Amino acid sequence: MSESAAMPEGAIVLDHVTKSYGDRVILDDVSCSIPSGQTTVLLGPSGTGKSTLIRLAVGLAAQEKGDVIVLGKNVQSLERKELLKLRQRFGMLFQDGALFGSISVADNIGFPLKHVAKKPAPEVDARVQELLELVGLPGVGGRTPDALSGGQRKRVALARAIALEPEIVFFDEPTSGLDPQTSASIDALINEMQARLGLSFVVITHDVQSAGAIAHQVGMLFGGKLLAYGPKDEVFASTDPTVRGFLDREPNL
Amino acid sequence: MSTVSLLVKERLLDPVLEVLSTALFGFRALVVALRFPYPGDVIALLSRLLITSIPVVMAVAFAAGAMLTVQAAASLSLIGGGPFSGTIVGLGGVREVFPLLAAAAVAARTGAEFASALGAMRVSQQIDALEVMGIDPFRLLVAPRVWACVLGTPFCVVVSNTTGIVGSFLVGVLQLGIDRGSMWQHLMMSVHIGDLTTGVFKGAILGFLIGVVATREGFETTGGSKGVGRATNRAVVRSMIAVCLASLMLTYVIYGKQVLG
Amino acid sequence: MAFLAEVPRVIAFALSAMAATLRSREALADTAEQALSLTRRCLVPVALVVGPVGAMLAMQSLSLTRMFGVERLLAPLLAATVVRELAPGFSAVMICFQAGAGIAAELGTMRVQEEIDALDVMGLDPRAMVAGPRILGAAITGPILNAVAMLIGIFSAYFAAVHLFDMPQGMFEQTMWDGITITDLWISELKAIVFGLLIGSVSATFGFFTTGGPAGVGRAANRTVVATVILVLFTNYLLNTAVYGATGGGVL
Repeated sequence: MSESAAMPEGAIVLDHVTKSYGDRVILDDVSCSIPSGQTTVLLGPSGTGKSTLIRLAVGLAAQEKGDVIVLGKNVQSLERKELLKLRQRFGMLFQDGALFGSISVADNIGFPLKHVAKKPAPEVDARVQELLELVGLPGVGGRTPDALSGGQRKRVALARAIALEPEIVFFDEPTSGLDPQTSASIDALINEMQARLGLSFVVITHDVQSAGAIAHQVGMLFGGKLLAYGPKDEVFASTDPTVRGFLDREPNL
Repeated sequence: MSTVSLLVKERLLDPVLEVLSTALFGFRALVVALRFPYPGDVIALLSRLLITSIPVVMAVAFAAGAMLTVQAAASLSLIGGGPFSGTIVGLGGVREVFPLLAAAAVAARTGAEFASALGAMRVSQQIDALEVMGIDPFRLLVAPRVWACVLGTPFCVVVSNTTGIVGSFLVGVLQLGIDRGSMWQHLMMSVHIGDLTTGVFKGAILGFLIGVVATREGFETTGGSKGVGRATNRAVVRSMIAVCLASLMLTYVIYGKQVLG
Repeated sequence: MAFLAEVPRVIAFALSAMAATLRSREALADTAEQALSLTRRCLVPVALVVGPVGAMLAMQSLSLTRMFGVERLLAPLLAATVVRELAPGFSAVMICFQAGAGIAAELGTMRVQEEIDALDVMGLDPRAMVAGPRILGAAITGPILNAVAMLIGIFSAYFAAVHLFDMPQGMFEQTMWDGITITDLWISELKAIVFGLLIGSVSATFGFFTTGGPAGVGRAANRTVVATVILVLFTNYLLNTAVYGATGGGVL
């Protein structure tokens, strides 16, 4: 078992990970260590395996080669029960929110509190109000998800993702489909949450501007390879032609 | 508003208004459809209807023919049983059961598909976009779908009748051991050419109802992607209601008490 | 047929989903809710198909039995046909049309909108929370609708024969039970449970594993209807032949 050999520092450690769908290689021998307590942004154009990386980390997909170690556990080798337990230490903000369409906003946010943590109803209600205020949406709890705007959906999804005070929060394209102003407000919200809660945030995005606004660490994925990885300023100053080409293009195409 | 008047509104007034507005929609569809169908669209939709509905129609009609035969033969064993089951399938099957099943299958498959397609176009504002471009969405979207149903349902009725009779014959001969000639004779004796053409005519009317109800539900979808699901569901239930009631009424008008003859 | 290749997957998924549901009290409450909503969705279509077919069968059979002067065979014939075949068969087909397509579309939508993944990431078991209650709900709905269908089928046959075509009322009532026994009713209900389980299992599996975005949801719903209708009719035939024998078992 390589579990005991895991580096203690990283919240997530990728060790020579390769993943393909059919004969299309999505991730090609990717290694990195994502530190805890910071915002790490994985940046790259669509279809370069960013989403796949998150899916491997939360155990929704399996890699062919290499190890994915999250919070000291080798995800692939876990029993289903252990995996479910590990996942309770994660939060995830899905691309379109993945809010449950048949229940209210408040019930969506309260869902993990009620079903995972099995908290009593009054406690759930109080926490839901607190979370709604935290993400800047007091008073919308009674609405259904379809009645929300794109930005509001993301805020509600974030509230749901942090409801159980997870150790890692994954963000799948938090600014996709939003106008620049709303994007900026989501970025600001992410920064505020990170500063306040001090959690490990892992964000995948193709939005360079957003990455610049929120990242401590940046990884550049291109064609399944991790071309650059390190502190934001270092990566943004990279002279690699492919990296430069992506960074220097018009932001928010 | 008091509870009584609310109940009257919900249970009585609203359904009546819905029926009237559907009838209005149907009338408009009829007028537009008669003026100018787009043949390309009609053919594409028609072939899609046939491809999706015919497997279901055949499965249901075959099974219905077979099971009617087995039950009828068992029950009629006192009067020589066997072959008379052919008479029952020939009469009851061809006049009512097989056409109704065919129409129900079209309502469930194609009605649902039309409603969800138009509903998705409505909620993603594609129908509004057509209006803005000056294109009549009625002519472009509703008319060819209604035509496809009017043309396709009679064909499904014919397939249903044929498969039902084949199912009855095969089960009668192979499983019940009824004499081949006698089974065929009893089946055919009770089916008149008139019944078959009536079936086609009935199919066209039922098809028109399915087309109108399904496109109307899709066309008037509200409430995002959840609304599309709701519209699809409603389209199936309502077109099924329309089809069953119409089928009963048509049978009564066409055959009346003559069934006893 | 491509469907045959999926049989092991359907069985494995449905069994694990039902097992997971039976272990959770919340999921059992959801099951009751699903059963109620499925029943409500299918009730009208079932009544609308079985009613007219029962009446029509009565009219046509009456003309035949009168011709031979054996009118007293009519009620047993109708009762047996409705209880053994018509009610369970047609109510199951309507469940395929309405509930089967609905379950596949609901779960398919949850899949493509990543709601199922969201449950998974929360550490909850989506099989227990969304799939199992629908499968078990369908199994409960089956016999309820079948009972309704039997009542409506026999009543509409009775109404047509007695009130429209002047069959003596007493004769229908006296002879009806010659055609069926209580055991027949139980067998019919048992069949309906089996059909409900089959429909629920196939539609939940197809919906749960939907791929390919919103278009995939439509595809899953369509495939579900075809597969479940054929499966139900085939099973109906097998069960009836097994229970009543190849000749349908003498009614009288």
